[in-house]
Amino acid sequence: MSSYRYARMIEIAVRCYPQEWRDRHGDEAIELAELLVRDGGSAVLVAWSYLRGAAREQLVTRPSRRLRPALAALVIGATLIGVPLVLLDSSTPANAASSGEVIAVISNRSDAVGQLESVFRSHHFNIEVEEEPSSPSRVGSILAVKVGPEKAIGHAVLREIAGPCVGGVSGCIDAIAVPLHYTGKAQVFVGRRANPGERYFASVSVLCPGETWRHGGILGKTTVSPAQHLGAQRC
Amino acid sequence: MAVTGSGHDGERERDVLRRAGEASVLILTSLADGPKHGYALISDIKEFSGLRLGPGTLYGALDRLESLGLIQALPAEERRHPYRITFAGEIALRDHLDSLERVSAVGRLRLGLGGA
Repeated sequence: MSSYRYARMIEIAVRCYPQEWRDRHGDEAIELAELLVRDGGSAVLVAWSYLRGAAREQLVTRPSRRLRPALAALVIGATLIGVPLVLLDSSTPANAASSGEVIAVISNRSDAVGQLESVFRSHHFNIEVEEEPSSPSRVGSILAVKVGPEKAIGHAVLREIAGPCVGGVSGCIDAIAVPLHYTGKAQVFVGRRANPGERYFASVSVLCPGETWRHGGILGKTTVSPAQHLGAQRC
Repeated sequence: MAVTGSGHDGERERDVLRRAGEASVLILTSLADGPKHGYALISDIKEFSGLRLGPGTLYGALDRLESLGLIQALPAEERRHPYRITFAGEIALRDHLDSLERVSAVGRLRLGLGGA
């Protein structure tokens, strides 16, 4: 299983916990999972452990609505473990219809445009996909969605779906739900690697996983003055 | 000849870890020699007990122990939250280990292995 896939699986599992738990433990839980898998642990077992913990946590913290979220966590668990997420398989078309929606999923960031276009084309949607320069961790994910003026006269709205970013719980947009009978125009902007001199169309914190400062050998390895100097050079 | 433990009802009541689960005991044991964060706890527990705690189990036990006042979260180090054992946690662990020792002694005697 690729590191991207196991990271997604674990982050989906962590998302099953209540918000308060995620606020407190979410980032550390993902880092811990990465370390355990790096040490040779099974990503599936780590994800399963989180899912059982999430079900338990939902039962404890939401006694009035305890069954639904706990069951949801376990159902997701069964899906994760038993049927290793069809959506995570890059060989599967990024396409799933449910509840009157077509969900276009980016499962392979290096072919994000192709996957989205394929789904939109097969359903005859008038939705264009365009690439825009973005900071490294947003490459291959959806940066923005622009809907035509028809939206204002009753067309159903496209719904962005946050997927788990590798190394974070805030989520990246890597799927979009389109109402089955959507007839409006829209543009979906997908991140691409920026060329020298280009401005980012969209960016995230420089400290996010995948971003330059996070991995540039500056943070945590030097004191303030040299770091400022290095930063100024890079800018 | 039947060998029974002596009456320790009061001590059993004092043993708050009796129903807290094995993970809680392992975590307190690990924290007994100094503060640790999640990964260090799992590694240490694996080393001294041979058991690999699942991360979901670990966080559940940490939250439970903290709510009981047996451990305390220390200021975060980047994404990691270290925990330390509290005085109440030390007492609870000691009581629980005493209780286990009594059970162990009875078990060894019944198996003919000699007293602890």
